[in-house]
Amino acid sequence: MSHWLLDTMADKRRLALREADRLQFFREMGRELPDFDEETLRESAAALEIAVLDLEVDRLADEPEQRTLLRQAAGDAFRLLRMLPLPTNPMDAGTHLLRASVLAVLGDRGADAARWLRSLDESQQWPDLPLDTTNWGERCRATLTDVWLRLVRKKGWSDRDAVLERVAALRSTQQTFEREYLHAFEPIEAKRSALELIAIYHLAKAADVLAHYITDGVVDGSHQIQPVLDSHFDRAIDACDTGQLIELGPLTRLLARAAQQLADNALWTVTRAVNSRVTEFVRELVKRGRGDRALFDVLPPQRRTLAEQGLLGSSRRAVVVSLPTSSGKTLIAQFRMLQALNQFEDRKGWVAYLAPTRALVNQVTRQLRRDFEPLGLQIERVSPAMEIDGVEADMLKESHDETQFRILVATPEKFDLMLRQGWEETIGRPLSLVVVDEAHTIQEGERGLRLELLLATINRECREAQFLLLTPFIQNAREVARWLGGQNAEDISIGVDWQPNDRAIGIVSPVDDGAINGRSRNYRLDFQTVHTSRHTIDLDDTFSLGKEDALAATLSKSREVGTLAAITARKLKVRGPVIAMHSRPDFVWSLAEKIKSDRVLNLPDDVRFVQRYVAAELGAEFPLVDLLAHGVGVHHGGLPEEIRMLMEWLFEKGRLDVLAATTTIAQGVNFPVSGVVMAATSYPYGQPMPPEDFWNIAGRAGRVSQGQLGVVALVAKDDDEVARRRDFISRATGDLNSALIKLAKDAADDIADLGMIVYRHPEWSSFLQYLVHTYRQLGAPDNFADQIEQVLRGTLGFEKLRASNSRIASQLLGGIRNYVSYIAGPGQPLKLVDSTGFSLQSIRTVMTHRGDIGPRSWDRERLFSQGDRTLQDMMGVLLRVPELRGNLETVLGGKTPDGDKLALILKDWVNGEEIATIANRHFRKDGEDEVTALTKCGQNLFGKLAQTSSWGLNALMAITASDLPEEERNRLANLPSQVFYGVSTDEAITLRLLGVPRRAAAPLARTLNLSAGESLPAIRQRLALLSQQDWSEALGPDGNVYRKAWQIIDGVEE
Amino acid sequence: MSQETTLSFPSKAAYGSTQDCVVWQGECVNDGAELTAFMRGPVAARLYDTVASEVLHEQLRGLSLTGMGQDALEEVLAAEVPETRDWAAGEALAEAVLEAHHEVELPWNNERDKRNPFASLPGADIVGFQRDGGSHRLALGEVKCSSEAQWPPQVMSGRSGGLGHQIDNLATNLGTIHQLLSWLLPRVKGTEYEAAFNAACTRYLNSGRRDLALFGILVRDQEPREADLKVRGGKLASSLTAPTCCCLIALYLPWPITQLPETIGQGGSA
Repeated sequence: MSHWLLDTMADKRRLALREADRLQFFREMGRELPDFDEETLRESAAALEIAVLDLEVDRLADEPEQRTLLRQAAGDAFRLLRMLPLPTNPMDAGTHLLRASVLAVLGDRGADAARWLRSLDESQQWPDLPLDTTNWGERCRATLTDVWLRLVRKKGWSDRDAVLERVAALRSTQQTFEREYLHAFEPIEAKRSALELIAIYHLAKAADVLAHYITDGVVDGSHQIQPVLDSHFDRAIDACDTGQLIELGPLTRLLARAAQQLADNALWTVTRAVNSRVTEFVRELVKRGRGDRALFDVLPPQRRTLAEQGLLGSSRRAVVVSLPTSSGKTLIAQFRMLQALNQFEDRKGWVAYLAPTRALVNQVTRQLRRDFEPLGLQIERVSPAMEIDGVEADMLKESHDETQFRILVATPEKFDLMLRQGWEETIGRPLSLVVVDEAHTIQEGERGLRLELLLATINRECREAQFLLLTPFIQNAREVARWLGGQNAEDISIGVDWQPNDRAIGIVSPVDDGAINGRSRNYRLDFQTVHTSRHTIDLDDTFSLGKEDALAATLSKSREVGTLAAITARKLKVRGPVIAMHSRPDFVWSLAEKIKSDRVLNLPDDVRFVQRYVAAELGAEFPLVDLLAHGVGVHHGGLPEEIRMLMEWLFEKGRLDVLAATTTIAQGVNFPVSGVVMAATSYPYGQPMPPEDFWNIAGRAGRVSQGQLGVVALVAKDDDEVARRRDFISRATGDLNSALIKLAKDAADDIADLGMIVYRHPEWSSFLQYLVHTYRQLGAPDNFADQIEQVLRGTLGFEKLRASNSRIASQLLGGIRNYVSYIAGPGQPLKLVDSTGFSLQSIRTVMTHRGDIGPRSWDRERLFSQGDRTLQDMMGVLLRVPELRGNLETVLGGKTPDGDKLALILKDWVNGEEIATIANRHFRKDGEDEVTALTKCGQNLFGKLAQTSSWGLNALMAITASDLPEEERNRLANLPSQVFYGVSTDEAITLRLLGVPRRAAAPLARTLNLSAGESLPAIRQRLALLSQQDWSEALGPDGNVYRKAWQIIDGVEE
Repeated sequence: MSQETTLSFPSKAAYGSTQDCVVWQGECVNDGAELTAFMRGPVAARLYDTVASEVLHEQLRGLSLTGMGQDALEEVLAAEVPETRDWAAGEALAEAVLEAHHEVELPWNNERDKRNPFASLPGADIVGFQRDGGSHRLALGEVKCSSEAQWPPQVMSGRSGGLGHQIDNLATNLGTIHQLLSWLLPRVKGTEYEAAFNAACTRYLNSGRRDLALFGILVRDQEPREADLKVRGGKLASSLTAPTCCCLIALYLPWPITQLPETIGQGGSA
């Protein structure tokens, strides 16, 4: 769409914005502002503002394109205005801020304006408006400016309360000052001033109405706020027109539109008339402690999703919400969940929330509990262990209304197993909604395929289930939605035109800075922005970060990515918390050591507490303790899960300057950071980081402490690496594709023989299991081979594979037909496929090699005792299972399969040995230090062995112990969980599921004296009620440290 | 556009000069029937006559909903406004002359604005558009009346109130003009002036804020002398650059300025 003014000034606008970006970058980086042409910025801002007014006057036309033009023009005007120096006169400054803020709101950048205004307040630059002057006109103008600025700033309830107070103060002092003020003018000017006051009174009242509305959702008994606002604005505009108030008139018109936008953004508007549970939730969000955390309005993508695209009014079976990172997808999901729960309230329907990583499962559970428990909703999570132990089984079967779960958080793998084991039926209530977080992981290899097949299974088997898929922005959201919902689907995509804050992405590399002496060269680090498709700040020139003699004195010394990353992190951390990433845990340790410079003076109590926790778990000499004293945290798979969670907690609270982490953190961060430094762009095992993950972490950059600019810096040691980094950043995210296509291509001719494929390509296991499961589910029909194409149509990938590569598709189809006739053969243990999560081939493998392992082998006491060899035998069998082999062999460091070693590690683990002891005993090689051993132990034990063995043992038990009487089998149900959690008793398992750290679980279980049949929520409550003294009695001097750690992990302590 | 512009303004040139982008000219106004017609027609038409107090009173409606009192406001809005017509008449005359002789269109000639008691906008005495080729540019003007027997009269200089300073301000102050444009916009939107506004606005904002016409009008009842404008014209010529064009006009009335309101009479909106 063209516009008479915007078209002619396009070039000028672009140049002015570029200049504003440059200024902002310098300002945010704490440098003195370079010289710039203020007038150019002013002129472009003025022109944009006129264009906004022009489009606003035309608003009844209400064309989407016009709205977009208006939004962009207003947003750009804001970007320019905020870079201009504030006028020295306080009233002029206030007016300038108000103009900019109003434009920000119209440009969907209200959140930026709010942060900007707050930061001005914090840095004492807030204009000192003459709110108490005896000059009534001046006082009214000051009040007007103040209240509307507060409505944009929304600093918790205090701003809202101040608006009401100030407007009330106008009313109570009018009598005292107004008459005298008006009579000081010549009659004609007195009339003009009277009209100005009338306009201001209406605008003040409108502010008062809006302030009431954002918190209460209702004004004078009416939920319809717009007519009330309109009437005041119309009158104010009329008064401005009549009095020819050329300053107030245009501002009033913009304010009118901004007020409408503010009302539209209000949580209350977005969620109006959905249901009482949603209303209650909104009330909770708004009231939240009446503090700064109160939430009054939604972000633009949330507004567009919930209100404009009507997600809450929709009863579509499948909805894909595809939004950029940091758009607040969780809140969107929360509303949708409440709606689904309400829809199935009569039958106590439940929601499954699927999150791809353990860390995210924990984070989501914490957040949902915090937000929904006040509504009386029970939130539970299941562990990622590939089995349902007794504790979980009891929780799932809970039948009391108050204590039964309504939302279950799980990893897709676990949920897949649950469904195939028939848990939906056992639960006995309908699965009403499946929320898939980070749904783009559907394209990632084996895990992706499993997720895809899980969704296909749910879609076919759970009649009432609806789907909500949350993804970062993808191109083909509609296609994905259609896959699950057919015609009854919807996609809500907000492209990359909205960003939560400004961001600069670039490459840091060393450049020659002249000779130091005869032989060495000096250097400096230059940051060069990279142009991206996502409206990031792009500078024409490089920006120098200087050098750091302590880390590299010369150019040649600086040419090492770890050093470069450390220098960059040191430079960036002054702006706010930085995440510095490297590819492997050992690199991360040395990166952290390089980053550490000065000790933190007055170390915060939170950090001291974590130091004590780390010391208790891993010893006082563990380097993390010292790093924490320097404000540096560490996060990688070699650390116990609880310590990783505490690192996230510290970092999120702003207690750490830098978090050194492996690149894997890119998948699991859902809190803002100020800066991101990347020494590597691949994952610990060498796979490149996919663009979605990069944009996830890049999307988190910004919005911390004073600054609002997120800086993402990739370091590169030389020109070649610069070029590679540039390519990496430029990789586009595109369509969401099924992993099936890539797996089929990679397997080549092997797909013709699905019977053997799992031995060479274990990632095909889930596909084979899907075939078996569907076959069973359909009642093992004779003509399954004929039905197979129909079944495959339920997947996202098969149709696409057929369209894109028909040869592979037909080869695969042939393979499937052969496989189907194989599984349909007599005596196949198909049921075990669903209960174990193994492919048929793997089950057969186990059966062949089980040796003496039988029902009698399963003795919980004996199995983990040192003298017994049964576990060794079992691990030997498991090492033959394709699904497990990879992980188990990694634990052994690629050496020959050695079940003995694995069994010995597991025994120490289950019997409660300290981590340091296990590391020393099993993971320390000659000449290696303790930290290296601990890291390896962590990576292998928590990351692989515990999880894989508990799954394997569970499956092995299902295969070899089915003859045991049920009672005995129930007693064994927790055995795999012992391995998963590293504890030896049922009670300790329960506490581990509730988040209690391993070292504390057993002693605490004794203190609690748990009895059989106690529900999980009841136990959590008892746990929460334990005093510091109780914990100390159970655990000794570290009791209070563990208590606090648990409170953080559980989400009680924020 | 409006009909009144077809009536001509009877005058003959007394002097005139050009220096760079500044033109100054003196015009002796001829007395007679033609002048009377012009005064009673186009000039009177733009001069507000009675205080439309009922329009103002209207503004109080709905105020009770704000919770604010209205007694003092009511008094002020209802108060009589004494005659202060000299300068208003001077402005009305200047506007009519610009329309008649200088291709200027003023978007005020509608019933509603005519009845407005606030004769001129803050910011600039005259705001309009000047036809220029196939397009329009912004036309802004300041008006002064002086009977002082001194050439130039004091109203031409002076730090803040002088005509020269005011024109300088219009030429350089983006804030003022931005406000005027923002103010004008909703009033011309959808009217016959919209295209002129759009063109003027575009030209102004894309020319480094130079493409506009500035007018300084001095209404005199003294002997015509070029000294009235020459010094100011020269100074402006040194500070303004093309495409800005500036025109200083002195109108020498055949009778005292104090007679202006009377000559205009009760025409127009009466």
